[in-house]
Amino acid sequence: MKLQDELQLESALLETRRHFLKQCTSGLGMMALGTMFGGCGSEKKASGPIITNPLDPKISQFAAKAKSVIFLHMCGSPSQLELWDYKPELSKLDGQPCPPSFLEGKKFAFIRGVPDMLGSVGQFKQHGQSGAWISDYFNYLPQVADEISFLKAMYTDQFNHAPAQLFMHTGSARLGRPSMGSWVTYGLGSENANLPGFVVLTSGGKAPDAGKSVWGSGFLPSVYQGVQCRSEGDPVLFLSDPGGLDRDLRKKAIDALSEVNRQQYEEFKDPETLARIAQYEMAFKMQVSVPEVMDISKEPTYIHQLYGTEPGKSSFANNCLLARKLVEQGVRFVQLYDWGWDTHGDGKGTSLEFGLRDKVKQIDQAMTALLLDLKQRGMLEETLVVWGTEFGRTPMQENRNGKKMPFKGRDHHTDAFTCWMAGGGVKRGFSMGESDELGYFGVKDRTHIHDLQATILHQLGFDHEKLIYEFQGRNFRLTDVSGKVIKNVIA
Amino acid sequence: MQALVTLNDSAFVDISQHFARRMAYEGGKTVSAQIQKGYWWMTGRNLPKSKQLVFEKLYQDALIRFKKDPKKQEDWMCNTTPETAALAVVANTMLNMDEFITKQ
Repeated sequence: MKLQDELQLESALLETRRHFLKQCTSGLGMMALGTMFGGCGSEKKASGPIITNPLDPKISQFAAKAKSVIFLHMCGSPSQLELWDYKPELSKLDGQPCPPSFLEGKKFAFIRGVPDMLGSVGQFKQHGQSGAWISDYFNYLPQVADEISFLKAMYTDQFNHAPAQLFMHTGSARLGRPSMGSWVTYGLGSENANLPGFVVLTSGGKAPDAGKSVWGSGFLPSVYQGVQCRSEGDPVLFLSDPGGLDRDLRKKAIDALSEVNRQQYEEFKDPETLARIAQYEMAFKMQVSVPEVMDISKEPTYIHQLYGTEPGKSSFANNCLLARKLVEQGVRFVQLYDWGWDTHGDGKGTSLEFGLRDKVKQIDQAMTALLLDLKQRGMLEETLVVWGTEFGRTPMQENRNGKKMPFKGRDHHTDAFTCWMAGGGVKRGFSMGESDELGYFGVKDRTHIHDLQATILHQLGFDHEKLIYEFQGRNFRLTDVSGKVIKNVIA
Repeated sequence: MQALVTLNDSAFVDISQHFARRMAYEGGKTVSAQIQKGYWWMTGRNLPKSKQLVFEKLYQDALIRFKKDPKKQEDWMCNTTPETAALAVVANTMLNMDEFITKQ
């Protein structure tokens, strides 16, 4: 009965640990509760109404322009030089060796020695009244060019996928921090009590390289984690109750659980207990609400045609439509991850000439449809749509191990890449930031990943420096210790 | 979502059912004793009366359901009595208690 002995020892230790929370210094647990679910502001609430549901809607720090965010993340990093950043000077140098000034002191993921410059495979044209530069990889997107604000001099310091994705979504290249969506639901709660405040949809065949941590809650209460919904199979893993346990009986079980956990909370005042109660009650509601909202079959035909959806399969188009539906139902933060953009040129599927064209085909119509759909429903002004990725690609042809590649491809590049935003109070038909004539360095109006994060929070009504959480002895925030709101891109 | 995993993942469902069989055979003669024993095995502590009443009510609700609808009981847990199947519902719930999941 060694296990029993251990349990009894743990029981004795339990008293010591929870005694600390409960009785020492007037109940540390109670004070922690105030900061844990408080959301904004740095003052600790010593007394005042106790928030019993951490997902209750909260007020932002100042008036928000956007109520929701839809973040479209292309995992693997699409080449900005083929899609957004028009560089005719680079095309003139196509095939010539890279000048040493671009290589000195630089570390590349795969490039070795002296690579050749590679002109764009795409043909660029200006579109809309704003004259937005978009390449011929896109057939649909030019229709909505005037809704978009481009940031063409984004930069990061991570040149590998997993740390770079973590950096974009949690503000740190290391594991352990809460994701953007978690910070947002921590600050704002959820408008719809029956759906998670933060939903994740994936496509492209694989999860992001950084794994599920990019939508994790880190050190924030686990109720703020992103919930991954799938457009194929059970909408959320394990959503269905086991056979024989009908809805009614499951409700009785959840009620029993909540009662027992509530008694536990009354005794020990551990705030994480309340988070757990909320999570189970949310899980129960989700079992009905999620299949309903995830069912795209009931949408009218013209909507399916607009997006190019494939009901029953996993697709980016399905996910775009779902994103609109979720935001319509009050979900604050919807994150779409599409995998497969890492065009190194080591195979046909990862080439600029073939693979990249196929990938753009998968997103072009759906992304355009999303913006058009939001606009015609009057939702675009209050929904911030962000198209982002984790870094850019080099103006040079990749030469893995110093050898010639079978197809055209580019290596990872941190110094200049493009993201864009639409709706949610950003300028329409605007472009900010420039890279040099070869597309290597950002030279004008550079914007860092932390700046983008600060701007997203700003549109939702938060000062990124004040949306904080105390952990391990210091205050943490999404933007860590830097980041400036990109005022120029705000309408 | 973690809550759904510990409620519905077949591994956890299996555990609940095996646990319930143990509670039925080794827990004692009465339902109260069986539930108390299950709680003891899970947490190493005695089941407070107020929580015991909650679990006993859940047991009764499940028992009524399974006696009325044997097909449902078979779907949930086969080759067993309604009593043990009802215990498994209690076990499945207990496995999700804060005091079990959070190592204290």
